[in-house]
Amino acid sequence: MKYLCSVLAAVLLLCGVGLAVGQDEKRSTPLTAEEVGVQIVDALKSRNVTTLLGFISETGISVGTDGPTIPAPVFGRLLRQKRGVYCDLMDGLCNHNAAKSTEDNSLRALLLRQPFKLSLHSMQGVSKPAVVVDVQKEANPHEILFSLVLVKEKDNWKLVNIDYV
Amino acid sequence: MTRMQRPCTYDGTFQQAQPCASTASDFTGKERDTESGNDYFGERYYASSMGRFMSPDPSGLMFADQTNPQSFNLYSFALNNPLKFTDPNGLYCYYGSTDADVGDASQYDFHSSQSECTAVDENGNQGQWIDDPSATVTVNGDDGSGSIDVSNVGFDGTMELVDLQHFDFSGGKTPPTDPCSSRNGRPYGPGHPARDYHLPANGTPIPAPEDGSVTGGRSNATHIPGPYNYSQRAPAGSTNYTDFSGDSGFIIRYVRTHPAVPFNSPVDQGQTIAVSDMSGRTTAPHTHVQATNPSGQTVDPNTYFSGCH
Repeated sequence: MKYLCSVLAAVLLLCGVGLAVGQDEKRSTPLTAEEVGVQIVDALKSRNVTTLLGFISETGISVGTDGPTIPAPVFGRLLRQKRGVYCDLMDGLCNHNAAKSTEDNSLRALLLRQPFKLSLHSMQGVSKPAVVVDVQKEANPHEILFSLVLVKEKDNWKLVNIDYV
Repeated sequence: MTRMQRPCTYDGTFQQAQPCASTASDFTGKERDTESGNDYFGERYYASSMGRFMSPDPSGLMFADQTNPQSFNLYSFALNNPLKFTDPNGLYCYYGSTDADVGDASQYDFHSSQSECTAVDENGNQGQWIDDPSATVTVNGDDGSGSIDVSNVGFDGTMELVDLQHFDFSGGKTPPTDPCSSRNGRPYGPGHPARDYHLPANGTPIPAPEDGSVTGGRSNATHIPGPYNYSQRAPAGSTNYTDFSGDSGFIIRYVRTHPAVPFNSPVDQGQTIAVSDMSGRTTAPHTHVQATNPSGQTVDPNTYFSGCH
């Protein structure tokens, strides 16, 4: 019995070590741009503010056509308080301005409304490595629902722009 | 719209004595963003609490005056002299002339109003807000018309026409406006993967840059009036656009325009394919242009259009 307990303890110990090593490896391996794009889209679909904020660049983020750069702390506050750009991204019915609509035109609603797919391509003519993740209608890849612009900061891909018209 | 309730104490900003909490207008009458406390100048945000803009003047140091150290501070408001100068939108105003009329040659944003900067003089010259150190401006005069690289313009109010460029579209791609002028927004970059091209008026026809076809677009959106701030962005679906596919393989999107031709019908270079409409949230007639090369990469539209370098 004592022998069995010792073996069991050893196995558990090894599993624990293995798990810890696995987590360390997971932490040390930066996500690819494609993985970041998938996680951001999932965060938008599930209204996961915490996950989305984890990908925001420290330099801030622009939302929509010609949108000003929103400082990261302000963006975080708006999302946590469920107002401003939160409504444009995750809940169009909470919109509060003159363009208020009875139809949810948030990016989340666009994602839930139809099948979509992601395509990734690089951005030329910029100082830092940058990629554009296009979220396209699966039925018509030429129709882009919105685009995410990611830049590489300290080996991690960070979101600097959510572009849509 | 919620308004910031401001205390009746001096906090380093310019405020009215009374009432303190009944106006949304603050420093030089600009609207204060309720989330950040910054004043929105159209092109840049100004932090009254710090007494500086939150981002540098996008014209760069191209116009710095060696005799005035204040001109090297791209974050300062109007050469740090708000009692004497004003700055209506956070941009430098260039006003050019080829007739060596020094009085018309150059004006600077710290003493230019919107009307002064964009007024047309007797030679047909029009001032332009500079949002990019590589911007070009139009000049007309005895030497004919064309554009000059603003980097060749001296700060001292005199013109140095050393590089008058004339446009030649033969074999090149026709820009959305002739001559091509990029303004009214941030330069191309990750935060703004496009170029904004100034248009003379709402309703300006947009020519096909090359032979090709219009492949898609939207025409049911309308202009959304201001004020604009972090809390009031345009939701998806609120801005018109026209997608053009060129025979070269480039795909060009003209945002804030609506298509003027049927989809997927062949069009010739120069033929009107779209009309500008100021749809969405915008303060001036322009088109926001995005370009994708044949490999599917996003590129600076200035590298595609002729004469836009």
